Amino acid sequence: MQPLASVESVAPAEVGAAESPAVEVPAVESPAVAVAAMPAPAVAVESPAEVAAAGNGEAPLESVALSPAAGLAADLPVRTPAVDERDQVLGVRCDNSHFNDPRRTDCAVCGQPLPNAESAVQPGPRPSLGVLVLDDGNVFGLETDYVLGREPQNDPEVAGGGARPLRVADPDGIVSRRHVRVALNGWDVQVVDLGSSNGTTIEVPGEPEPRSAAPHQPVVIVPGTRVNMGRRWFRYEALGRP
Amino acid sequence: MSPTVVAAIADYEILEALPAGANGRTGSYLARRPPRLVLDFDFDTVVVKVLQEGSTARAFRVVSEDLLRFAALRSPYLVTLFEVGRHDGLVFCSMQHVTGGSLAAPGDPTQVLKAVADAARGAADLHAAGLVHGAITPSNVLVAPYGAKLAEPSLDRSFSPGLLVRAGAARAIEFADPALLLGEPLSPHHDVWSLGAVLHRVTAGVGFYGALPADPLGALRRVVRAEPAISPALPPDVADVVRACLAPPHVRPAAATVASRLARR
Repeated sequence: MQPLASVESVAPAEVGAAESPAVEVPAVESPAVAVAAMPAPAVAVESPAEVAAAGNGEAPLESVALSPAAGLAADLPVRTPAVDERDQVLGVRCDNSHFNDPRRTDCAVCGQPLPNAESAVQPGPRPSLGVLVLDDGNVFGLETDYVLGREPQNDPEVAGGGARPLRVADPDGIVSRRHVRVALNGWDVQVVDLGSSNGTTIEVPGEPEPRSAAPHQPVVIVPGTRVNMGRRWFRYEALGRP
Repeated sequence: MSPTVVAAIADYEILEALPAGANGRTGSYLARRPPRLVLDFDFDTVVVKVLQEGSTARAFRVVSEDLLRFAALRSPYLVTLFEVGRHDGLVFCSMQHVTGGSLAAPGDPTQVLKAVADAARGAADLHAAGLVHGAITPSNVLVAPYGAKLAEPSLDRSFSPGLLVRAGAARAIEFADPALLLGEPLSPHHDVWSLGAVLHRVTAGVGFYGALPADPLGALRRVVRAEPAISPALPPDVADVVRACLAPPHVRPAAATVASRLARR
């Protein structure tokens, strides 16, 4: 095995370039993966460490060798199963076991009528409440909260695992680093402006004018609602039956 | 030869852009192996796949760990990876060039069942190591003259947590277990569902839901609300395997069982 520079040797420059140091983001994985910093194009030598030593001032190449990797992989921590991020909520099940909002009368997935007796209400893992459709065409599942902005990874809730980061690029800088949070509360979806510099507007289906979101005040939104952050926007949509 | 849009990725000299599906994916390039890259075999050309534009150091580290675990399995049913790198804003992975295309455009229709069986063996090897592929589609089953290989797992979840459908890729969701789209955490039984969907698509020539709309929201809604319909054109024994892959998780077979049922055929 060739000696490799540890990931720590390259991380500080990366943090400065790509992640604001305003909030310390803890490493989520073991640093067992060694990353070699190399100039590119690399010269014809075999050792990444030697390539690094022969630096020519161009942008460095970070590289992890995978071909002779069995030894390195043995040092990795045991892979933990995917974390179930779903909150426990009260709901009702249809005959096909789909878990539903107790305020519904029919199943959002299969359309079966739902029991309306109070005794039918039980706790269970909340299914996805729908999707966020971004203006760039990407679609994100609503199983948990999101923080949207130019640098959402620096949000304390994101760093603590309580929300996913959803990066919204904006060369004009109208979108704030932490602009808006989409929060799931029971079976409802809320939007919270995080004190953004240029504000958030909400276009509710059927309303003629957009509303301005007051900073830090949660607003419950319904499917079809469009949320604007400057010129960037997303829509909240349900996947199940209306 | 396909038009090449980049001359180099890091120190890989790009020879040509691979068309979508040719080696399983878009954003893949045939490239010359840089001299510093020492491989077990004497490959002069490799495939370089661009995984992501723009990435944090942390995401790169997580993705590197994922690929390292995949590569360390050394399974003959998984594509051989050489290196994952980050350079000039791009995260890329270099890997062997599997020359027979993918099941998205299979060259030899008589080999498709064997190819799906090989993909199931690849999935079984992943599952035995505690890994889940998460994106088994026809274009991720790479076909070689000597057998098929499963391409590297989906890394979307590491780069973009929660990403359900990448822009422009709506039709691939016919291969995703609807339970996954409704919020279940990723698990090996979702891969088995996908193997059934791939088997159906490559055998019947159609998906469970007809032609899905290109609009991601419309495609998602149809997949979530409709029951998958198994084509009557399928041979009965193949239909039985497909049906088993779609069964409730507690009775769904393991990937290794799917492979052996297809191999017995």
